[in-house]
Parts: sequence; C-alpha cells; structure tokens
Amino acid sequence: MQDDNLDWIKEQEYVYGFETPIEADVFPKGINEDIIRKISAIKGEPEFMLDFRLKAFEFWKNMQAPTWGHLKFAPIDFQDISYYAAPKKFQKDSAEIDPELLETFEKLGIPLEERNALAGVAVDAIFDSVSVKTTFREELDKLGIIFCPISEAIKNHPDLIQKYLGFVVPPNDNFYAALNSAVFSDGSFVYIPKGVRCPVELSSYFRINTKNIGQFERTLIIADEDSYVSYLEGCTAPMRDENQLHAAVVELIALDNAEIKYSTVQNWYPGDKEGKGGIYNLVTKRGLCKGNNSKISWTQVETGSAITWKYPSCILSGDNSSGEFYSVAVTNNYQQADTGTKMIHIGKNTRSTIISKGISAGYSQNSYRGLVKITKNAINSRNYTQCDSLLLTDHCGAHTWPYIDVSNDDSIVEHEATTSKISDEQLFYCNQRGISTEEAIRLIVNGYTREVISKLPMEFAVEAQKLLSLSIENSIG
Amino acid sequence: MKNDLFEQIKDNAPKLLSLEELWANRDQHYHTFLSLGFPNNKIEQWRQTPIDNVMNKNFQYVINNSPLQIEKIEKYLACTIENFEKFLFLIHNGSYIYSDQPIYHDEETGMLAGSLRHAFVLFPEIFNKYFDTIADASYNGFVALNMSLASSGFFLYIPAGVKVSIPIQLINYSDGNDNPFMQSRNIIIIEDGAEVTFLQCDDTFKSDDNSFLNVLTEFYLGKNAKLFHYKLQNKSNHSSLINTMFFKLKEASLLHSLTLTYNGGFIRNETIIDMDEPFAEAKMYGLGLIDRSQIIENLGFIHHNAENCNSYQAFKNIIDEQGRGLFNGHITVMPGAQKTNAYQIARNILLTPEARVFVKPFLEIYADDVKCSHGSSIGKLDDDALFYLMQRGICERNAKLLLMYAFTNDIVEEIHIDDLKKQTIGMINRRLNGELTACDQCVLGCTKFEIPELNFDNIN
Repeated sequence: MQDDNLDWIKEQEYVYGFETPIEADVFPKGINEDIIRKISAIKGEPEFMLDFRLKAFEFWKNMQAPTWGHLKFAPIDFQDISYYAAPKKFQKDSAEIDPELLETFEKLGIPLEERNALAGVAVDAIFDSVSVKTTFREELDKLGIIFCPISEAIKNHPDLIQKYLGFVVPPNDNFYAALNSAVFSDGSFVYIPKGVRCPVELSSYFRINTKNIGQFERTLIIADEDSYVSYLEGCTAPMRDENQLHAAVVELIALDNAEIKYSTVQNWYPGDKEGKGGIYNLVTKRGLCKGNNSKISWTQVETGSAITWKYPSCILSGDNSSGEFYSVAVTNNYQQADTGTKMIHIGKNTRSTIISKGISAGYSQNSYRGLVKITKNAINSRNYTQCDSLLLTDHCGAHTWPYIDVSNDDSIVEHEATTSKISDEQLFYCNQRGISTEEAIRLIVNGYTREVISKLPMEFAVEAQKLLSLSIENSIG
Repeated sequence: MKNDLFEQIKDNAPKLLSLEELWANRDQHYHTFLSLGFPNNKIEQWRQTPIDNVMNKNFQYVINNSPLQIEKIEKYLACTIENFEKFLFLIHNGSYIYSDQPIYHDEETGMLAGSLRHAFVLFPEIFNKYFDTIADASYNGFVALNMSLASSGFFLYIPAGVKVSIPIQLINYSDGNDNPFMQSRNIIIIEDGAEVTFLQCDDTFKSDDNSFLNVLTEFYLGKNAKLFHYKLQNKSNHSSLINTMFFKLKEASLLHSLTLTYNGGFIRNETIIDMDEPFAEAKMYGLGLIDRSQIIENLGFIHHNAENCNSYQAFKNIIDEQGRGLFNGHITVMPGAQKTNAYQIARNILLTPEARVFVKPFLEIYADDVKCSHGSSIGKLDDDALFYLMQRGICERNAKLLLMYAFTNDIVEEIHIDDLKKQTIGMINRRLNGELTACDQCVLGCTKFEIPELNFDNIN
C-alpha cells in the first residue's frame, strides 16, 4: 500500500539532464605520462606541479581500486576516459563568456552575471575541466581574500600551493586521490587571510557536459588564524547512458581559531530507472583542524550519482578543535551510496558531532560508513554520532558500518543508530487528521531531514528544499 | 612462529586425515584451510586484532587429542560451583576425559552426552544428521582447520520434547608449558520442543598456561527448542583461545546466551547465528572484565533469514590497565525477513589511559518492515554520578565500585541459575576489588564465594 504512494520519490525527473551543444577541446582517451605533461603544459604550470603530478601518477600505477565499499559496479576502464575537456570558444583571458555557457549556468540557476547574483554569494563555475568564471573577485581582493580557479593560484600563489597542496590528502592517500593528483585540471582555491571574516558565501558549481570525460577537480581552502569562511558546492551533469567518472579531492585547512563551513548539494545525474548511466562520484574530502580552537563543519545533501563513495572527514589535531558532519543521503532506483565520515581526534578537548540521515527507495543501497578514532593524547574528547536510516520500499537496503576506536579513558564516545520504515501508526495519525498518505510521507521525510537541512546556508537550504518540492510536484501530476 | 605451525600442520595432516574411524569431508575442509591459511590483519574482520602477535609464538601442534579414559576425575573437580547440581563433562587439552563410560545415556529421557568420537561410532544416525551441517569451513582458517583436523570433543543430544532440568556443564581445561596448539570440537543438538541449560567453561589449571585452543561448537535448536547457554571464561594471561560457535535456529526456538569473561590472555568469541525460520529469538549478553594486557573480543553475527524473528545483543566491558576490548556486532536482515526486530548495545568503561576499545556495531538491512537499532557508548564512569555518591559520604573508591557493579548488573540479572548468579556477583565483587589476582588460574576455584558486600572500612 505504501509503495503506490511513493511515485513522487521514485519517478522524479532529472531536470538538469540537458546537454549544452558547445564545442569542446577534448584530449584523446587514456592516461599516460604524456597526457599529464600535456595537461600541465596547457595550464602553463610551474615545474613543481608537473613533478607533483608525475609522482602521483607513479603512486597510482601501483595502487588498486578500493573494494571495501558496499558498492557493486563494473571496474572502471581508466584508459577509456578522456582526462581533459574545455569549451572551445572559451578563452582564458577574455572577459567575455560564451553566451551559450552563460545560458547553461543561467538554466541551472547559477548566476554568473554579478548584477543578477543572489546577494552575498561569490561563484566559481567549473565547466568540464576549466573554470569559466569567478564572480565577486574585486570585492574579495580588497579584503585580501583569494578566491580563484586553482590553475590560477598555481601560477599566482605558488608559495601557498607548494605549502598546502597535498598537505591533507597526500598524493598517495588512496587510489582515486592519486589519480586526481595526477590529472586534476581545475577547481577552486580559497585563502582567507588572518582575522578576516569572509563577508559572502563562496561557491563553486561543477558541471560535466562533454561525453566520455572524467571530471577531476581539486579544491583547496585555507583559513588563516581567526578567519571564517562558508563555502558551497553544487554539481549537475547531462543525462547519458554511459557512466561518467567524477573523482575530486577537497582539502580544507583551518589554522588557530579559524572556522570553515563546507556545504554540498550533490545532484549529479543518478542514472535512469533501470540503473543505466549516471555519474560515479568517487571523492576524497578531508579537513584538517591544524590550529587550536579551529572548527570544520561538513554539511552534505546527496541526492544524485549512480555511485557515491565519499567520506568528508576531519582531523582534529589542534587542541579544543571541533568537527561536524551533517548528511542527508537519498538513494532511489538503482543508486548506490556508501558515504560517511571520519573523525580523528588527536588534540586535547576535541569535539565532534556526526548526524547522518539515509533515505533509500526503489532498489537502491544506502550505507553509512564512519570512523571515530580517539587517540591516546586526545584527552577529554567527546563524540556524538547518530545515524538513522529510513527504508521506503522492500527492495532497497540500508546499512550502517560504524567503527569506533578509543584509546584513552578520559573521553566519551556515544553512538546511536536506527533503521526502520515510516510506521503505519505515523501515517495513520496524519491520515486521521485529513492529510493524504502522500503528503504525510513528504511531511515525515521533511521532518526527518530537517536537522541536517537546517545546517545549510540559506541559499542552499532553498536549493535542497527545491529538490524535494520538485519531486513532490511530479507526484501530484 | 606462524609459518612453523603451518608447516607442522602440513606435515601431520596426511596422517591425521587418513584416520579411518573419523567423520567424512575432512579432506575437503583441509583444502579449504590450505587456501585460507590463518587469518591476518588484511582481513576485515581481523583488522583490529593483533593476531600476528598472538600467533607469533613457537606453537607446537598437538597431534593426538583422542578421548582419554582415566580412573579418577576428582582432580578436575576442584573448580566447580558450590552446591550446584549438574551433569559434568570434561575436556582436557582438547581431549575428551571420562572415567567409566564415554557416553552418558539417560534411559528415561533418551538424552545422550559424552565423547564426540564415540558418538560418531555408536550413534551414527543422529550424528550424521546434524554434524558438519551447521558450521561453514569457508568462514575462516581456524574454522576450516578445526573441521579438518580436530578429532575429539563433546556431543550432546536432547531428544524431542525432553526438558532437562539439571544443567549440563562442560569444562574445557587447558594447561601447557611449551606453547601447545590444540583443538576441540563440540556439537549440541536440541530437538523440537526440548529444553536445556548448558554451561561451557574455559579454564586453566595453572597461571602460566601458554596453550592456544581452537574450539568450534555447532548448535542446532529445533522447533520450539530452548537453550540457555552460559560461557564462563577464566584463563591464564598467557593463554589464547579462539572460540567459534555456529547456531542454527528453527521455528520459534529460543537462544539465551550469556558470556562472562573474567580473565584470559587472548580470547576471541565468535558467534554466528542463522535464524532460518520465523519466530526464532536470540538473546546474547556478554560481560568482560579486562585488565593487564588481556585482549578480549566478542563478535556476534546474526542473520535474520526469515520473518518475525527477534534478536538482542548486549555487551559490556570494563577495561583496566593495558587491556584491550573489541565488540563487533553484525545484524543482517535478508530480503523478505519482514517484521524483524534487532537490537544491539555495546557499552564500555575505560579505567586507564592505556586501555583501548574497538566497537563495530554493523547493521545490514535488505527489508523495510524492520526495527533495527544499535547504541554504543564508550567512556569513563559518570562524573555526575560519582559526585552524587561522594556528596553523600561514600568515598571515591567505593563510589566507583558501586557504579561498576551497577554497570555490570543488567547483564548479571540475565543469569537464571541462582547459584551461578550468586557466584558471579561474588566474583565480580572480588575482581573489581582487586582481590582475585592471586587465583586467576581458576574461575570456579573460589569455593568460598561471598555475597557482595561493599567494603566500607576505608572511608576517607
């Protein structure tokens, strides 16, 4: 009975699935040293970056793709992917953007024209392998904030890049991080100077357009002492029958008293109802609370991707530092998500909170996988973890794989998890008050995810709400 | 060294496998063992276990563990629960020990209890129906090794409808000077509607026992059968024990299993429960008092294969000094196993900065009409509670003791044998007071156990 009323969540259309008919410069398929040299050359990178890439490639060649995730997918043929694509008409130095591109981002709701911009959001838009436009540059420059494509930062701020690139996620960290380190083409770079509170939300928007390319973006955010930044990330891709690879690396570094808030609404194309196509989202995200009293907060709403393999983590090495992870992961049809976090407590009096909400529908598999590690010196540390799963059909799966490792007696770690469906009593209660079953399910799902959605910055909460309300429209029609 | 043990096993295997009077399929299991080898840290389930260190001793593979007839078994009886009526059976260093008859046959009820190897010869019909059908050799190297080469152990058969009122106790002793590696294998068959209480004790004779025991037990619970299963473990700090238990639960059967671990160098209890038919229920409780450099691990894998089954796991540890605890619960609800209720809780108290604990409470769920949850907490004694007690004039030491008793209490309350409960409370009392270090070689040796009394003489 319940299943019939779930159309709104099962049948939702992917509205971002259009393709922009724009010509692109695409590298031939395959990966080898020459390709890496070519990427490095096209970006005009200094010598140290090429070394970094080649070293990462050496690591990658000797590594195996991880298989421990609760995910089933055919092995990826890394020679069948093109590692670089750029819109042809796009010229780095010209101030004009191709109107087609502009229209694409307009269609996606990402304002690149500053006059149209939502008040208080600076956007870095990334189309396939290159960053097409970064807004609000001048205002930010006045405060000394650097917000630019990482390819630019490599040229203009080599000292910061050399110091911090690969600092949190070293090139040999894991298979996909090594691949990313070797071939990444663009991404965002943020540096917030000492004592500056970034007045606007910084945002990057990722779009995969070209067929058969992999997107490997790299984001590096450094918050210097006493600074604050809130960063948003969104992503979409056209609908295609083939799977496409997205292997990003995100590194956050918070120095003394700094705070970084990182929010993601991930809405890559999830594949069709039969599970055909969709993005493989294999991402390494990690934040380092290097300084004392620093704070890193991850918030994610994961609705897209055929495969999600993503564990935004915090290394709490500064004393009194804190880490947060708020996540809603919705899977349906044949989507598979294996996502969670790692909280590594190293400093004294460190705090972490994990709130994870999974919703599975259709034939999907949704896993939470997390590690809370309290090292010996992390005395008086505290962790609270809650991971709930909601099952909407009887074909889907919801799994919880928490790992807890505590090595001192002065810390407290608490973990709670529940798995259940929406109970008939809850539905009955709503029905009894004149609320239709469909409306009731929506209401309950909304309430269930509110704890996380409320952590999103305003603009993103709107988008996340929109994602839900869109689905609801479809169900009524 | 691990490799040496592996070589010893390889050298002796042909001889052991050629024994005619033993059960079938051993060759096949031996090949499984050869392909699996001993577990190592690369295997997910063993990642937090320092198995390489445990195995890194000069173990001697004990070839002969055939059943043994001795004249007097009195010397083994020093360590029993006082005033406690029971059927007592013994395994010493992997060999089944008996004085008059290898298998006790109760004429009235038809109950059979005794030597596994004799049961194979004397009661082949019962034996072959169940033996080797519950355990899975591919589970890990230790299981495969046991299934291929273990040749002695305990056999228990309770016919349909029989309710055995007297508990059955099996004591598994070990003592060894030169790192013996020994195995024993048991099967417990409880037919439809039967009911029994079974105590399985792991014990050592002397405090410097450095043996390695690899024990495998298969349990079959028929329709409406009930098993109250207690495990009491008190081994030397140098000994190692791998204890793997496979349970098959039929319709509406009930398993009530409780593990008490007082002491042991390295103890790993691995429980695999298959609930194949509806309305089965499994309750598992565990309490570990871990100190010095002991490593105590409890793993519970519960497979809900049918609908309307319930499972409940509650494991608690108090970890002192350099002790190390691990709990890995894994609930799998298979597609179609609707109306499942599954609950897990793991709570740990750490008393020193050197203590360490791993908790892995997994849920793997493929059906929607389920209620599954787990909770876990790791930490120190509650400061507020301590303050509350001390404010009322109870000294810090006693306040801490009180809180620790309270912590253990909900597990102890699940002991349904009064004598055992009384003794357990006494044991915990003495253990927490630090009085038990002198006689840690023997759980049940404390003939003068006392009702717990808080020691208020040192109020400061």
